[in-house]
Amino acid sequence: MRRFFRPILVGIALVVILIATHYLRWLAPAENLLVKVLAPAQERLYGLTSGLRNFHNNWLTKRDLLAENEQLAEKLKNYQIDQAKLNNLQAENDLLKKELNFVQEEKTKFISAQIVTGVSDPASQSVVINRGAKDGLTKGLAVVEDSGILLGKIYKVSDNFSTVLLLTDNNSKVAAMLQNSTKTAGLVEGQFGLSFSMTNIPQTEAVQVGDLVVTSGLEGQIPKGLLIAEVATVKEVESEIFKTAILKPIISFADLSYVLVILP
Amino acid sequence: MALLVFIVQLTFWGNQSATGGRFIAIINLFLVVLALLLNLINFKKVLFFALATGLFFDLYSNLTFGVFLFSHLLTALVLTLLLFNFFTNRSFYSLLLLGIIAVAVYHFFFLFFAGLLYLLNLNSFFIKADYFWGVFGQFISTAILLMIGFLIINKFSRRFKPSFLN
Repeated sequence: MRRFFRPILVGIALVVILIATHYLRWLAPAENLLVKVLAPAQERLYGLTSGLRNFHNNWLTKRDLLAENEQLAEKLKNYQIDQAKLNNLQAENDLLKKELNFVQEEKTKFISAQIVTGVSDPASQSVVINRGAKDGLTKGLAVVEDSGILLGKIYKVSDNFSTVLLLTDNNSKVAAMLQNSTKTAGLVEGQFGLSFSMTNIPQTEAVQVGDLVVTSGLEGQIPKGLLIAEVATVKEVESEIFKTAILKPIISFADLSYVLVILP
Repeated sequence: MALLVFIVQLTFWGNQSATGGRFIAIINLFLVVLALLLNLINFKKVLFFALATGLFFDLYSNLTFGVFLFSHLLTALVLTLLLFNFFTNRSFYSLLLLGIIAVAVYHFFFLFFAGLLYLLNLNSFFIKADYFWGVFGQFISTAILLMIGFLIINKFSRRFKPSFLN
């Protein structure tokens, strides 16, 4: 036992020193350098495993894709008709705005990022991306998928990498609203890593299955109108003031490789 | 070795945990390697390995910094004390038992520290229903991997072969 005593003491002292220097930010340059050095290997390995998983999924669902393809072709045709109408309306809108001297809307600024690792511990739903403070990222920024669907928010920022808290994490909370006639406001909260729901919906508000949920813009750094999910079921108890809408994600959080971070 | 364990455990297997690869995701490579290293190298190097992997995991974790460092360190200490005071060195059964105890001890310390910091309001922490199924899965996966590791090391080295005094 005696021969272990000194190494044990040294080990405990090292742990205490590491924790202290981490919180005093003295260890930050070394941490950033370590992540920067490891990132290329991690990115390649993550890409490899995503590729393997995608190959497996694609092989299994090939026959379902053929049937779905036919349905989508039909839908596309209808959407193209709608798109033509929208284009006309857009052109008319632009002309009217110009004539009334409206202020030009700012274009959204964003930066692309690659996911370096998946979920880092069993108690949270998060991913690490290869962008950090040096790229202009700050805590609370919105992280979206290619098509603009919200995935989560920036939770922790270091010089060269950041942690993104996904919407399914229990600590995730996003100000949102329903795209119904009354634009009902609420809060989208993660549910123990499994799904997410919209809470704080007044009992008097009408919520229907299929209603789309978007960001409300009430959080300063998250733009308004980002698509989040659609309503799957509505839970209401007469004795409670608020009801809850259980949401169904529009995209899978598992098949993510690249994301976009919306800059302020 | 610590770097390799960290990269494979977090980046490769962490990515598999979302779909389909649930069995792969419940493998705790750190514990498997720790149990093997305890029989192969000296205590100081094992301590260094435990601290290094703990540091890497803490860097990428959303939990309070230090949870993995303490969990890894104390797991290594407990296993070393058990190995040198109770278990027979270089025995297949002691290696297997060590691995199973490693899983229990590691999760005990992890839950203890994460839970304590949650109570002190320094950490947000919750356990999903399938967390304990994952621990159960780790018992099995660790035992299987240790069996394979023992066979491989035994084939190419004399480290796990018992030495008899004449």
